[in-house]
Amino acid sequence: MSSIAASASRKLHPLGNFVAFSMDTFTMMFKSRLQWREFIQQTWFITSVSLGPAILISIPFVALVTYQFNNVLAEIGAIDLSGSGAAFGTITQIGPIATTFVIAGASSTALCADLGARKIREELDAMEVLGIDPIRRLVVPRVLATAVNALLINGVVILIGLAGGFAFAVFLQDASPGQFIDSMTLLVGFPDLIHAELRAVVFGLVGALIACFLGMNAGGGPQGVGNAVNETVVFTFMALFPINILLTQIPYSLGIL
Amino acid sequence: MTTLKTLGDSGSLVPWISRHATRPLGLLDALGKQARFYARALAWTPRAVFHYRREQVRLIAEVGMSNGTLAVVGGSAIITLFITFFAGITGGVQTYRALADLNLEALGGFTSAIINPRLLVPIVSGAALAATVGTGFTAQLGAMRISEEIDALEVMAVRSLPYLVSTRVVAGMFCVGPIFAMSLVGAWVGWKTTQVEFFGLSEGTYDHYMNTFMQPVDILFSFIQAVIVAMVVILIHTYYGYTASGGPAGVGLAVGRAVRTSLVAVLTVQLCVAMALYGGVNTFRISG
Repeated sequence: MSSIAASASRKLHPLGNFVAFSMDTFTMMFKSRLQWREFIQQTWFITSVSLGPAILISIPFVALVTYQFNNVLAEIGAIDLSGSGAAFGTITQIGPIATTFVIAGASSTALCADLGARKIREELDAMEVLGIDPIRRLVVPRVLATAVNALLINGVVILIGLAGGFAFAVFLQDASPGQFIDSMTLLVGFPDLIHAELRAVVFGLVGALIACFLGMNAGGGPQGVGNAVNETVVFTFMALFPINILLTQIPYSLGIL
Repeated sequence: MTTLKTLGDSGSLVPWISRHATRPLGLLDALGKQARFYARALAWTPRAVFHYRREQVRLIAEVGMSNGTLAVVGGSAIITLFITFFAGITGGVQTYRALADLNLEALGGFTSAIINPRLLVPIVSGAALAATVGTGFTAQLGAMRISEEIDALEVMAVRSLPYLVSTRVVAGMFCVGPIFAMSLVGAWVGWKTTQVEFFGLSEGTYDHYMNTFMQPVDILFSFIQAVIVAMVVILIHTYYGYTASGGPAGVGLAVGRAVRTSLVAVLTVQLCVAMALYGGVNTFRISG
């Protein structure tokens, strides 16, 4: 009996370590001066790995959703309303979900591979020996850089989404361009945009924390870093979808939206 | 040797031109290498099934249940179910809110019948498959490449491509059915739970619109999408793992690169297949 409890608690250890790690990062974020140089370098690094995938993911994503939505609208003779569907889908869910994909698939994997490589080359231990706190020096700038990137990437995804939806509906499925633009604000407005952007920032924070935690705890051997990156992708997906629900629902429950 | 090389590099414009001029060609080269790898991996699948049966069975079990830390969470099937369940809840919340704006809440079942099989399940389960099964393959094969196990196989006269790659492709094809079924159920349960239990939509109304607009052929199309995407994802991930280089850190980089490529591929392939399937015969009928 006690052995079951012990094994269960052993399995929960990494979770506890992750919470402690996140608390450390957040306290350090406000307690110490930000490493601006590292922050700017990391922001650029994350942009360079995630902007391409963001663009390439959002174009087919939006085209797919617009295509299916317009099939339905065309059937009921309301193809001119396609703007409302494109705007609603893009801003409320496609933007944040595509951002989730980019954060989990591109930014987090790059961060985790980078930190994992440093870990197995014992650079992190060397930093600690020199009296430099890796959390302050490496983690905080990366987490903030990913959050900034998530905000911007969500904007890019939404912009591409609306433009792509317009092109797809007007040029390929014969919607009227004026009606498309006119119906865009039927279901969504400015508050929804802010809502989506705030969600993206939270996704960026969580994704970066998971990536840094797993990267800094990567095991040795050739498979260690690979496994850490694998776990990063899976756990980021598993964390971001439930968080997305909570954050989607909260403003409605509070009566803000 | 080295001094000569540096002199040549710094001295003239020729290396600069050749370096930049060969970049597009290099890209084409890489594309050709990938295509050749994929063609060979697929051509070897009969050998994988008939010659390496034991390895094949082991891999099918491994794809379904995963290994290492992910197995603790429940393996790739459970993880996919978890992710699509929550994606279904999100979709349920969001569409209910939009429909409520138009006083059309009753159509909740209709949105579930259309959005789940056509959009949500193929996209989300494809991404989840890439994340769980695909990245696991890249990490494994990358580690084998780095520790020279693949070369050792070749030395022992075992063809590494069918033994390692084709078996994995077949294992993925075996497992995509159950994984797809679980994700479809997960998404529908999440969607219905949200709208019926949390928002108080009448269950009869939900079921009525769901049953009216649910086309069985949509599920078949959705499954075809899932199978094609799974094949593409596994081929991409095994390629990046099989060709990994640069020591243990290189494996991490290869995994990252594989995920980026395969997420883009998931959506692009998804779009192409959807247009091919739904473009010819639109299965959606409201009026007659």
